[in-house]
This record gives sequence, C-alpha cells and structure tokens, in this order.
Amino acid sequence: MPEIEYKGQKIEVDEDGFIQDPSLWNEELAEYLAKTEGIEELTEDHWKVIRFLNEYYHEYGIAPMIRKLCKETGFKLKYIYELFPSGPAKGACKIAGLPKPTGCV
Amino acid sequence: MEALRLGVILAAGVCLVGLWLRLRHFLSLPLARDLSRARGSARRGARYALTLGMMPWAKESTRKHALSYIRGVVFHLGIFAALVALVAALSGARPVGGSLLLAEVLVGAGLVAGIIGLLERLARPDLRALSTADDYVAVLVMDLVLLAALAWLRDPAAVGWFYALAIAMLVYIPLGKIRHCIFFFPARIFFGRHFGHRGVLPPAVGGGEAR
Amino acid sequence: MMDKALEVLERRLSRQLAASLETCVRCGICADSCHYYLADPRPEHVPAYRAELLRRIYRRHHDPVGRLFPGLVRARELDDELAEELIKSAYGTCTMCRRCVLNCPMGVDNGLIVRTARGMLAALGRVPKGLQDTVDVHLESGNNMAVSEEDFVETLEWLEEQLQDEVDDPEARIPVNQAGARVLYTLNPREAKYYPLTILAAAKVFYAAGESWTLSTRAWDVTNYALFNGDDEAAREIAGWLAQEAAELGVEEVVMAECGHGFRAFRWEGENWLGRSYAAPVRGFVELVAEYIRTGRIKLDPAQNPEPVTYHDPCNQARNGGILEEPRYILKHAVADFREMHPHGRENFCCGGGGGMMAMGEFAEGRLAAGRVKAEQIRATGAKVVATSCHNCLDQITELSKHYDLGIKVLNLCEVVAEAIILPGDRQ
Repeated sequence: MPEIEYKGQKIEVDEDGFIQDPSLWNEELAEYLAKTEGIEELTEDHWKVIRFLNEYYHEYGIAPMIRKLCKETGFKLKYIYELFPSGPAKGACKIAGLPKPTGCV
Repeated sequence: MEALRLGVILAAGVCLVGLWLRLRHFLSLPLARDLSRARGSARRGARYALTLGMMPWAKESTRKHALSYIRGVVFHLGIFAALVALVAALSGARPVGGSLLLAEVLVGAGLVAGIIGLLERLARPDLRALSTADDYVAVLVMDLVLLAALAWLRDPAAVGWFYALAIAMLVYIPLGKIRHCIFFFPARIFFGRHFGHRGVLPPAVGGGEAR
Repeated sequence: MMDKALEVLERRLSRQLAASLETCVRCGICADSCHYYLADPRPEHVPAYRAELLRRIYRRHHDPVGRLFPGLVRARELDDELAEELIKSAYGTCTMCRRCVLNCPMGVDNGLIVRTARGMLAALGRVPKGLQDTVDVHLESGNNMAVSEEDFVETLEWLEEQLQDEVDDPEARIPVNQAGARVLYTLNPREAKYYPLTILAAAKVFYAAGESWTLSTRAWDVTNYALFNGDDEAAREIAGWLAQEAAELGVEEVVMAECGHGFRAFRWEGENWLGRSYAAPVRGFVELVAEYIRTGRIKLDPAQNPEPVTYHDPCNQARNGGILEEPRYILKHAVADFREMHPHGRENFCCGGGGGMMAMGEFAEGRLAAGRVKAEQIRATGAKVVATSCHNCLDQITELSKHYDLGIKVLNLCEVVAEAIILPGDRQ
C-alpha cells in the first residue's frame, strides 16, 4: 500500500491516491491532495463542494449524487467540472477524503 | 530392413490410436452453443478462417513477421513432402525426375526452416520463457525426420535411418504438441465461427483494417 | 483448497476452450499484438505466456503425458504460488481485449482462457478487491454504484428539466417505466451519479428522433462487471434482471448505453449465461443513432464540431462486437474533420483500461504504461477530440491525456452527436 508523507505523518492511500482511513482527513490534508490533482489553490467555491461531500459521506456512508451536490452548493454542473478537472469522483471526492467509488470511474 | 518397415507401420498405428484417444477426450466435452442473435455469418467466418484468413497479409502479426510466418509455412510444406516420401518408401516407390527435384527442394527448405525455428527458440528470451521441453523435442524430431527424408531422396541406402526416425516421430506425435495437426482445425473453425457470428470476420471492404 | 478453482475449470471445459488449450504451439507471434508487450517487452507480457499458466494446470489434469511426466510439458498443479502468478497475469496485465486472438495463426482464444482463469480465481475468492466490490455492490443494490431508486428518479427529473430548457420544449420527457415503449434504454451508473451530461445528450437524440423510449427504475444498469471478474453465476444474475425487465415492459428492443463491456456482456454473452434467448433483440446506442441518420430521423450539422476528431474503437464493441462501420458513419455526419487512427476497427489497440482494469488500482502503473501505445496512436492523428463509445475507455484516455500530455478532449459519441443535432423546430 503506497503512503503519502504529509506534515511528518505517513498516511496510507490506495494506488489511485484515495486515502484509506477517512477519519484522518482534515482541511490541510485536502489542500495537499488538491495539489496532487493539479489544483494549486482551493477557492471558497472548492471548499463549498469539498465540505458538502465530506459531511454527506460521514452522514450516509456514500458519496452524494451529482444532482444533490449541484442543489446543495447552487453550482451548475459545468462549473463543478471546471472546479475539479479530474471530475467529481476522482477529483472532488478524493480531495474530500472519500474512498474510491465502485464502478466505472 | 523389413523389420523397420513393419516398425513404421506399427508406429503409424500407435500414432493413430494415440490421436484417436486425444480426439475422444475432446469429443467427450460439451460444445458451447452460441444463443445470441447473429450479426454476421458463423459459416462465412469459418470459411474465411480456413482460407483467406490464413494468408500472410490477413493479420497484423503475420504482416509484421512475414518472414517468420513464411518460415513456418515452408517448414510445414517440408513435413508434408517428407510424409509423402515416407509413404512412397513404404510402398517401394521412389520419386524420379521433376517430382524428385520438387521433393528435395521442399524437404530441404523445410529442414532449413526447421533448424532456423529451433535456433530462434533457443535465441529469443521470450520464446525460451514460453517453451517447454516438448517445444524443443517436437521440432528436433521433425528436423531429424526431414534430414533423413532428404538423405533418402538423395540416396536410397538411407532408408533405414528414414524408417527409424519416422518411428520416433510417429510415436511422439500424440504425446506432444505435434498433435496440433488435428486440433488446429477445430480451433480455427471455432475462431472463425465466433467472429463470423458477431460480424467481425470476414472483413468487409473498408472495415477498418490497418494496411 | 484449490478444488473449487479446478471445479470451475472442469465445468467450463468446452470443446472451444479445449481446442484453444490444445492448439497453441508457442510460436510467440502474438507477442507484439499486445499493448502490454509493446510497452514493456517482457516474456510475461506475451499473450501465449499468460495462457500457458492455465495450460499448465490443464495438462496436469487432462494430458496423460502431463500426469506421468509433468516436467516434459511443464504441467503443474494449481498451488498458491501459481494462483498468485495467475492473479498478476490474468487480472494484472490483460485487458481481455482479444487483439491477440485475431492475430493468432491458430485461432487460439486467449480471451476465453484468461476469463476462465479469472473465474477460477473468483471461486477462490481471489478477485482484486476493487473489481470484486463493483460486482458485489451491483448484486446487492441492483447497480454498480449503489444508486437508490429515489436518487435515480430525482436525478432523471432534474435532467428532464434541463432537457426541456435545452430543446426549448416543456413537453420534452425522460420517460420512466413506460410499458409498451419501443426502446428500453440503459445507463451506466456513473452517468446518473457523476456525469449526467451523457444522459442529457442521449435524451436529446431520442427527442430529436421522436423515439418512443423508456428507462426503467428496476433494471437500468448497462454494466456487468462479472464479465471481468469471471464469475458466471454473478454474470447470469445481472444479465437476467435486464432481460426480465425488457420482457415485462414488452419493448421491441433493448438499447445499451455507450458502454463497451456492458454491450458485449448483454448483447453477446448474456443469452449464453442464461441458457435462453431474450424476448427482444439488443443493440448498441451507436447502431441506433446510425440508423436515425440513415433514415433521416435526425439531422446533423457537422459545422458544430469543427475541431479534428478521431475515434477510439472500444474493443468490446468493435473487435468483440462487430460495431465497426456505424461510429464512422456517425462521425462523418457529425464532425467536420474526422481522422482515423492506425490501426483501427477490429485491429484497434485497447486503450489499456479494459477488462476491469480501471477498478483495480493495484495495477494502475502498468495500465498507464501499457496505454502508451494508445497515446501514441492518438497523438499521431493530430486530433483535438477523441470520440469513443465507452465510459471506461473515456476515463482511461482522459488519464492518458494527462499522463502523456496529449492535450485532447475525450467525448462519448452521444455528446458529439447531441452537439451537432438540428432540432426539429429549427429545421428550415
């Protein structure tokens, strides 16, 4: 299992870079993960998406539908794709500390 | 010499029984039927697989490695010629004139092709990794038979060697990979039927081939 | 301990499989038909080598020589070490694209051999986790992303509103559970969950064609990852749901969304898993769209897609499914500058993401390395857009673009078509 070193702490990630233990997630780690996805600076809009994903996951144990994400954040679909160029699953969910989804992503 | 001649006939019997046992095992297995709706024709696919699909230009692998493929074809033509020669020897006949020359050329070329094949297998690391002892033995046995056949074509006195090696070959055929001589046909037909049924083969004009 | 795996081999040992196991002469000419070998020419990347791993077991049990003198033909009992090697080989370095099958002078079906090996490993519970999870989620929830019916319906309603805006017609619909509709359409769960624009695009095409179509809330998932984990029982169950739903709704045909393996699994393998024929025929979305264009049911304006476009043939639609002409016919009508990559069609190279590879993160490094072949093919066309007809290919090629800096956009065909479509109201 690969690891990332972050602030002197070793965190296990899977081969696609999703963290293995969602409880280790925090906002500084999100900034670090964002850089691995090619997002240099997380804006307030990024944070809106990330926080919603993380909270939803902790409540329901699954990633929300993109429709819910759009509804809750008030963002248009295309704007979310622009915010996270690797997409909502591989980009946004990863930064928000969710595990890799099953299926074709 | 008569004993060796009888030996060959006996070995041929052993070979046929061995192949028959292999075939019996094969035929005891269920035939998987394809229930999906056809897009093309299984029959046309099979016909293609056994004819034009065998041509060196029909697939990328044999286009890229045309020399290797043709080497294999020459090897097999040599083997068929040697088998014809063996039947001739057993029945007391000998080719003369043009047919002798043709036989010598085919068997000789087959021998060269067979030796190259053996050397290639020894030289290429990926082929060595792939090979079992059978892969070397089978080609070696065939090369020796080709050599003996060539010797007999040039000098009838070599008939003893020819017979002795033919016995070894005939006994070995059902044991090792040379039995592809029978399994080649169902494999190729299944392949053709499968891709024919799905409308993938035979290629239509402009069907997206690399040329 | 390995008995379960050997039982699978015995159960699946058809004449077709036996012929492929018997016939290989290990000539090795298949080597460079494989994208893994081309990217990294190691002996283990020769397709025949992968097949040999199963052949060794077969010889141990079905070849008298292998039983008496295993050393002579490298016959071998299945043990833990061989199982590990099989996992790396059958799951880790083969996308079951079957390019080597087409290139074998003998017609050996390495794809069938690899899937049999996968089925044996599945019986041992040794399918790589990401792939097995996908099958398990599908079996438990009815789709491979555990999308609930409520979420699914809400998403479709939300998309219906967007469709109405897009086509400027408040009557435009995304019909659900319509018995007697002509077409039952299916979706890849990722479309509903993360990438709904392709649903919108397909709905727009159906709208423009005036099609009588429906989705089902009971069986709508186009995928069947059991094609990849090799588990026939699971494959049968998943295929059965859609077959039953199509029969109950009484549709004239089932149309598979743009999903390579889903198309192959349901169109070509499903009836064989089930052991019976479907009530209604099955087609790929691409086939239907080509028919719409041919019969004039939709009109396209290629000027709407001015950038150079190439097409990537999903292995499971083209080489393994016979869909060769339709995508080209569509693109020639939908884009201004269409360029073929070479080779293409039945001889196309796998993108590298097939066989469930995208779900198995442990093999990601090799997957991206082997994708170099596809990346170079794409780069050589100079295209700015790669159209394909498979979500999985789309994801892999998007990753390749990042990894190899191709600077391309990857789209499903439905998006390209939807962009070019001239709506009935706008036709002059």
